[in-house]
Amino acid sequence: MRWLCLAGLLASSAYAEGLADRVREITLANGMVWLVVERPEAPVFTGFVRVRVGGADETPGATGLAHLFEHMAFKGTPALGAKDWAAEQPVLADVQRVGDALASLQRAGKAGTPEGQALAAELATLQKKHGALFDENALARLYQVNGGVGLNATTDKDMTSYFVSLPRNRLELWLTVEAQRFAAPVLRDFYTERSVVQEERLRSIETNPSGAMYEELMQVAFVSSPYRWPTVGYAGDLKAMSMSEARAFFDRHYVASNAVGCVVGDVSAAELKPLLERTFGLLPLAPRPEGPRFSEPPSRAQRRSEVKFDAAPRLMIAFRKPAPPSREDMVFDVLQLLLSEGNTGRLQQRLVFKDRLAQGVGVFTGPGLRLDNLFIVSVTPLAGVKLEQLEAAIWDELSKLSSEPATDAELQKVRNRVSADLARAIESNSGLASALSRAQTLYGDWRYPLERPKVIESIGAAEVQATAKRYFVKENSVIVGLSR
Amino acid sequence: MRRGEVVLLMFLGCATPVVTRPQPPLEGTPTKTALRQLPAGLDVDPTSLTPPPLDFALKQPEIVTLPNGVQIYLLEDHTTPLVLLRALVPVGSADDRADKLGLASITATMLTEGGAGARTPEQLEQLLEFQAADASSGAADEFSTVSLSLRAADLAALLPVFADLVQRPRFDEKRFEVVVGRFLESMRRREDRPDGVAARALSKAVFGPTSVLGREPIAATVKAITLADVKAFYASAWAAKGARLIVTGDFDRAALLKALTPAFASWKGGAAPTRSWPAPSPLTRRVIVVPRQIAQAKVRIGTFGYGRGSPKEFPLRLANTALGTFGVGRLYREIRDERGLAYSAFSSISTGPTTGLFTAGFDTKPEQVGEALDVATRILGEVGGAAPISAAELRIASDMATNAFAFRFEGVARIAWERATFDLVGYPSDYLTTWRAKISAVDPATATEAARQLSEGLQIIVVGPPEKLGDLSRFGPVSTITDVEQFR
Repeated sequence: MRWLCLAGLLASSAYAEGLADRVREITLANGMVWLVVERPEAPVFTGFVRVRVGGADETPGATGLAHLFEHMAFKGTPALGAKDWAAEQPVLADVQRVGDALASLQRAGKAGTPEGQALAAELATLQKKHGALFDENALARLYQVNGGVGLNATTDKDMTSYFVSLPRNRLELWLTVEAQRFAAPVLRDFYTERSVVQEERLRSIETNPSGAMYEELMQVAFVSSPYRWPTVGYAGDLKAMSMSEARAFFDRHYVASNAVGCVVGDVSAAELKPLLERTFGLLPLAPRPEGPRFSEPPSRAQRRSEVKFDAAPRLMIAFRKPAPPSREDMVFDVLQLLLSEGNTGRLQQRLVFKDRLAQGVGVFTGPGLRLDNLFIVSVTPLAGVKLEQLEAAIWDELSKLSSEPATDAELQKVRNRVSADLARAIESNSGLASALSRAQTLYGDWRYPLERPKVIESIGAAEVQATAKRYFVKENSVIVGLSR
Repeated sequence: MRRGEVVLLMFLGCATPVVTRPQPPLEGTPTKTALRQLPAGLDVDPTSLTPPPLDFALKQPEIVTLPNGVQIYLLEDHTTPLVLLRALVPVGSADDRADKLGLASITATMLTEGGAGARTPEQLEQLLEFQAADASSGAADEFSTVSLSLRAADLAALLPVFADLVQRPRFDEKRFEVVVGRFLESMRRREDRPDGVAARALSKAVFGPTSVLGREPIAATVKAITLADVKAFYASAWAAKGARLIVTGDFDRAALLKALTPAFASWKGGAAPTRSWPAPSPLTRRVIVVPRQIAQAKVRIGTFGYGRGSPKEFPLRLANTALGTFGVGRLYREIRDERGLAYSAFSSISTGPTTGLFTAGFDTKPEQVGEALDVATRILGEVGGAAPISAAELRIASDMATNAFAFRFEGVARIAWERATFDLVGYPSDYLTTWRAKISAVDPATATEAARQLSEGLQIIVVGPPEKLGDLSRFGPVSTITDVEQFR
């Protein structure tokens, strides 16, 4: 058996090395890095533009800004969506002036005053006037009529990502639109979009038990880290967000040197290079913004919270841990697989099959990858099982990891899994483009995911045990339960 | 080292202040958005950069038929060292007995979890998971599947295991109890997600709560399933004739067929299930409120889609795009963009043996449900007549469909799967080769005519706090269903 699995592993790591040889890196004069992998199997490509700005780059009082800005980046540019750009600009300036004045009253809790009501009425009139001057769906429609698939954008705690897949002959179109919206997005319909985001918050957190629980976990786990607040933002901050804040945020973070582009598909580097010079290459050189500044104080005691929600009970147990690309983070990846991989993971075996306490167990890392984060065990109990019972069984399994080394077979299983899952993750164009651009954006090195199997290979039982012993302690834990 | 010291060290590690990563210094001048006009070279109209539709060859799987009737679909791609093995049989949840709903699903799960061949469930899982192979299974209305994703280097070793999963399941009794327990728990938890509650209620309202397409397993029907039922269902459903094996990825055709053919040669039996699909009963417009104390109501509006092979397929696909697609649909533009009432307003349309489901939906604050429903019902009411689909809307919808067609041929797993399932439900063999021409042939009048049915007999589901929804009776007679499971 052993020779077989080693053969598989060797084939996979040779594959990762072969793939690394095929990644072409292009750095523009303005500091923006581009990655290209040619895959001619289907006549299509996937393109990513990622900006290293996310919820962690916000400040208290302005939570949700990175995500709200991402929505604004779909509203077109002076060259896309404007019906009369010259006429539109002064109206847009008026919308900003009146909207900002109203937002500051909202911040002060005075939106209901006669002054606030007058501003709201003026804003509504201006928005209507502005609405006649642009087509806010021009960008989405342009991509879609050109066969765009999977057009979307995401914001997380660390970065904002814009992506779409298109037929291969739409490369110039894609680069032009992306460079234009990076250079000069027009913040059209900002105040309507702010309402939309408030609905998004209701959908993802207020009416979703996992969302509500996750938000609570982060609030309890972190004191000063910007990982404390949700990417979507707090309702109060969203309500009072101003257009000027969004503009300032954009000016600071959307600079070419803070962004990464990636194209995977039926496209060559030779074809891409001159197109980049004519598009993203025209963006100015500007200073790269600093990352978040904070100092997370040490935890002296276990932290606990109980969320009341009209849903079946759940439990999350989390531990603070260092961020990637540290080696310790990789050890946590090993711990994660040991605990929860498939049906043979230790927690699955114990909670689902042996003790029959749980319907399912998930182990993952959150809420981001750029700053020190959490190792999270999430469990859904079977009906009638008490959360205390579950918690005790989980602690028991975690303490076994500290008290005895993992077996060779278990570690080999983890290594096989890491190399196979890498292949699965990058099998599609979008998967490969996502993995390479994520690593380049977060760690400045696209090779990170391809080299991960080798690092995991070098992690032995003693290191795993020492890490478990060090981190799986009460004082480092955060526990959140959810019940009716 | 004593434990106290370890903990202390850990705290020191965690307390390292200011977690910012070093960044290369870059000189330059900060920019201001107000000044950010497009750089001269970039100030072009991107809508002028539209090349003609892409012409490309349609990739198709090779199909090999074994003497016992098993059809093998093969499509190689050596980009990634992975192979995907799938088995597909034409029996699914539609074939469940009414008092044992969930049987097809639990049977499929037992194939991958209940042990196979000489291996107990634990031995099987240890073997597969050690090799990082992923086994999964499931049942849809009209078919069931088992799949095994593995590293190409493990193909020779794991192909016999795949053959065991499909042909020699052990149906371990203890594991059966666990599988049923988890199934019951997942049903209990489906009440936790109000959007799921809305979708289930809609399906029942449109197709009829006891019809094959509308019904759903409930605790009583799942508890009624015995291991003997599972074995009997397997014996009738998982048989050679009508079965399809789909192999895609990094393999060598000759070597694979040499191994696969004997592994499935002794598989016997099989007959197409006899199903009766009663014609759907006509719908009468109504509002069904499902009370939930949540901060955002979930609204789903539904009626019939189109039957498989219906000439209405292409006009309805395009009408659906004009109504509910992200960024371009009428519902999206007015409910989301113009009024900011929802994060998303969408529509979708599907097919089925006799008919499918059309759904329009949005999530909004409970107090805004009336306003958003006024808009949605007006848009649906007008599209078939008073505000017909324009040539421009149709052009957009048609361009979207034809230009995105290339993505149906991205990835061998998808290409072979689509072909096998199309063959299974009886699509004509030229369905995909004529697809773009059929889309292009639809004119605005045909699309408008087809869209008329999208306002007929609307079933309006609202999940939310009833006291905040206001009077919804202008949309149809209002009834209340507390428990979707009890909606019969």
